[in-house]
Amino acid sequence: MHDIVIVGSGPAGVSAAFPLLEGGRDVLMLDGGKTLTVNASSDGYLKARLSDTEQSKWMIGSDFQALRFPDAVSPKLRVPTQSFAFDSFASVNRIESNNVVALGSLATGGLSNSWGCGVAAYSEDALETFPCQRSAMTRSYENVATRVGISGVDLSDDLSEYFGVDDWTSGEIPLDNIHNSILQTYEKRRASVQRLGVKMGVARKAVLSADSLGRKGCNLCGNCLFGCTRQSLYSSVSDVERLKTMPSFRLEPGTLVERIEQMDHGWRLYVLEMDTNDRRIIDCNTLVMAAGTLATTRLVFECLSYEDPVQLLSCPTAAFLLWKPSFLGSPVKEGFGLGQLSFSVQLPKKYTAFGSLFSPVGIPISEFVRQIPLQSKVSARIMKNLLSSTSIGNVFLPGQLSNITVRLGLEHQLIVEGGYSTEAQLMLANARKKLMRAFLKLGVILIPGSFTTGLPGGDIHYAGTIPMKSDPKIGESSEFCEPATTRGLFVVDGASLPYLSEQSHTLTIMANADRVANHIVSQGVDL
Amino acid sequence: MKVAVTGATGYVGREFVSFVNKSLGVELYVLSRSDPRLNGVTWCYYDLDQECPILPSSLDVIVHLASNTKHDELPADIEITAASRLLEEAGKTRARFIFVSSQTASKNAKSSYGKTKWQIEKLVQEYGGISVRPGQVYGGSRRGLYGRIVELVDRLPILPDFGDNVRVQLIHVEELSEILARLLTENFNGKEIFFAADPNWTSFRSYLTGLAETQVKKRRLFVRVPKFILIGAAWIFPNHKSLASLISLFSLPYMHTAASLAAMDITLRNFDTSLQKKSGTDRHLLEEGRILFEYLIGKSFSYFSLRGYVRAIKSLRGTGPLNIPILARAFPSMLGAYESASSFTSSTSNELLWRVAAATQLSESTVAGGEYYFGELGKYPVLRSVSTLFLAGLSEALYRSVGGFIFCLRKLPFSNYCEQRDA
Ligand SMILES: Cc1cc2nc3c(=O)[nH]c(=O)nc-3n(C[C@H](O)[C@H](O)[C@H](O)COP(=O)(O)OP(=O)(O)OC[C@H]3O[C@@H](n4cnc5c(N)ncnc54)[C@H](O)[C@@H]3O)c2cc1C
Repeated sequence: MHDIVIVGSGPAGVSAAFPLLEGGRDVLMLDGGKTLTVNASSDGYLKARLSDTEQSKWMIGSDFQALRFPDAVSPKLRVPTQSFAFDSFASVNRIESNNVVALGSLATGGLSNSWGCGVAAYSEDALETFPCQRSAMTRSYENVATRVGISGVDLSDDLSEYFGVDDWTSGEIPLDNIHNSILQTYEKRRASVQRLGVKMGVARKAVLSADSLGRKGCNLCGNCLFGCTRQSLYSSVSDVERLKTMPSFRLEPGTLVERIEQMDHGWRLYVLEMDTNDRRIIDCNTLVMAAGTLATTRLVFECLSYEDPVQLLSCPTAAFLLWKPSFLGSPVKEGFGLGQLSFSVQLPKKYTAFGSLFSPVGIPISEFVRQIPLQSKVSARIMKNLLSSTSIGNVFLPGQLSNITVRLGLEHQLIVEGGYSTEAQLMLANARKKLMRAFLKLGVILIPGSFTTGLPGGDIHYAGTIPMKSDPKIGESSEFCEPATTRGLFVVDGASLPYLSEQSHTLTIMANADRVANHIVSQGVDL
Repeated sequence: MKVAVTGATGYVGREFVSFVNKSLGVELYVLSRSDPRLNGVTWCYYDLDQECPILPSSLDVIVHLASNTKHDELPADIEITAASRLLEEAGKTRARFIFVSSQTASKNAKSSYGKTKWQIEKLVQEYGGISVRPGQVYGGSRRGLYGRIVELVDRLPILPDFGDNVRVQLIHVEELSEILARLLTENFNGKEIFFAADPNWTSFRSYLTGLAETQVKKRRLFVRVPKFILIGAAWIFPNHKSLASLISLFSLPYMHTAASLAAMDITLRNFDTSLQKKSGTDRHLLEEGRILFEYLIGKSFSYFSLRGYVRAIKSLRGTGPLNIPILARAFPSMLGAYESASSFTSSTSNELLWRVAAATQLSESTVAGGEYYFGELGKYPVLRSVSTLFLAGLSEALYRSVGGFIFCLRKLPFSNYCEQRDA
């Protein structure tokens, strides 16, 4: 009989593990065990592209990974160095989706192997929806933010309050030329841009600007899309490595939880060993679920025999291309490949849209050719000439604007279906108009026709299926994320968030997991 | 890439030249006594016992396949002198040098042929070139020693069986020319000598049986013939070429080829099945890859990256090459018109579009692709960018209208539509 089992080694799982171990508890962590199979280049991106004769290994993959999924939502799913993070998730966890992107991870470290590293703390208003004490969340934000390492701006900027993480940031990642220039123009024309409801600032991200605890500081090598060989980008894999050095911790990778069952005392897990295909049972007093929203939801609903459809919070998204004519013909340089600048857009009905701008340099040209409805050769030539004068943007809306539901199917699969609400479409259109005008004021053209709405679920931010409530009914969970009618089960991933902000939500998942774990410790061992 | 080839009219030479000419689109200079009359190939008169012709100053590779077949008329050192002249010529442009030697090459070879080859190998090694020792070459058109053996098998109702000790290490002529094509740009991380043959011996008898079954479609009886009879016969008819070649098979040194093959990640086909199999799919796919890559990036590519295309299509599509219209074959940029025409049809599963997309990704993921996309913009980058954008727009408009035209005419035979080739 184990003391505590945590299912999942992603950001949620590791964030629960630290307080539990520090509180003197024993932790067994299970995960799907997939790990990196192809390494990204350790040279700078441009150098590698100009001289690595074996670049097709990480650009295409020896099994042609990059060619296999022409319709995948994100280049990340095609990149051979990253595909392990998404591999087999839906089939193994019995997730069935209709017209909705439903992804997850069986990797050690989960989706954080390939996430965008954007971080933010929920606003006061957003935290109102949490039935817990605000101060407990603030404490936990600090715990996880300092562990993860966040870079931002040294002095505050127009988004300091909106991000809410500046108390815990250290250092900056230098902006590339084009984004630096956009920011400078913004600072000059701030007033007229803000009149449109648009604010801009440097992106806050879980990226180290200097070496720390075995991870190296970002050297702007530009390989972000393909994976960071320096571990500057936060991934919970580096936390798993730290956890493994603690004596009361054990990781059993490649142990898939197929079913969970509440016993008279504690919990029983029916697991499948990925290596040997053997099935066995693991018993524990306390079960902490952090398998990612979709996997956790299926396991918990199955255990509760809960069959009603429930809303899945998921942020509607769009992407667009910006062009700064004054940069045409400037030299192409590699630089930080994730969010450079971020912006917020005030929308009607008190909604806010959030987005970031990225450099296109570290993204394969074919990713653009795929999107441009011209002859491939022409699109390739155009992009080649525009690389140094363009920027890619994305926009997120709050998660309740999707109309996606999940429900347990007859074969105990989780069915994910739905789409965007009309309101989401209207809000995206509104955001587009405001952004177009705002960017024009900054000397940047939002290329008409490039603004494309993402597929429902394509944000891969999922939450809210077993939401925390102060008075939870069946299918909901308590202030400490215990699903109603269960005892000793804690849902610490996105499933228990009652609200999904348009901002990056993973830091909030982590803080919440930290908070719940501290609660478990304070409860003491229950015999 | 500019490549000069000697011996291009021989058995292997012909195969190699037509292969690189079609599939790789390299600029070829053929050095031979007679004009092979091949499209898109420049012929320069060349004879082993005469001075080298003047070669283009930007030559990248010399492939030396010629060998003295007039054994008795010319002294052996003619070949050596010829090779050193070629090497000198290669040195002027620092061209790579690939010499096709022989399995019998050895310092202590019994024949002067083997000794000569060994001496040339040494010269090539000093230069920093690569020598290739092929095994027994078979397949393709019936020429050279292979042609003579097939002819014998066809003519003789009863074939000699010299016992299991007379045996060969085989290699298909297509495989050999593919290896040579790869060596044009690749360095295999082995020594200076590449051993190109099946690592396993095939007994001469099985070799003949295979040829009888697949090439002349006749069953043949074998009679055990002791070696000395053949040796005696050769002694009586010293000028009989086939006999001389046969005897050379008796003392072939074993070649450890596995390491060479592994270094370039090559698995040879099985002799038993390869003669029956319809060959050529790979070549058509290679050619298709070449055309697509050239369309997208406008450069010629190494065999290595084109092979990636072939492997990708074979493992992901499971279908053969497309029937690319002759117009696009000659002018790859015409593919733009066909691409536009395909996009008029709403079918997203259009094979041509899939392959163009795959080729975009594959051609990008090479050093040549990296240079195309990230190379210097040159002196007036802004002007360059503006004009390229303008031209890109123009070519989109032009080829789109041609594409529309093709789309309307697609039922007519001459405007075939890049469909699947018939199997
Ligand atoms: C391309 C991309 C970009 C993103 N960008 C951002 C961003 O910029 N900012 C942001 O805040 N968020 C971002 N996200 C979302 C972020 O990655 C997730 O919110 C976060 O990883 C969720 O953490 P988690 O621990 O809950 O789950 P996961 O990270 O999904 O981890 C799940 C864990 O559970 C294990 N597991 C799954 N099923 C089972 C099972 N049946 N049995 C045992 N173990 C199992 C897995 O092996 C894994 O260890 C992004 C995601 C993607 C894909």
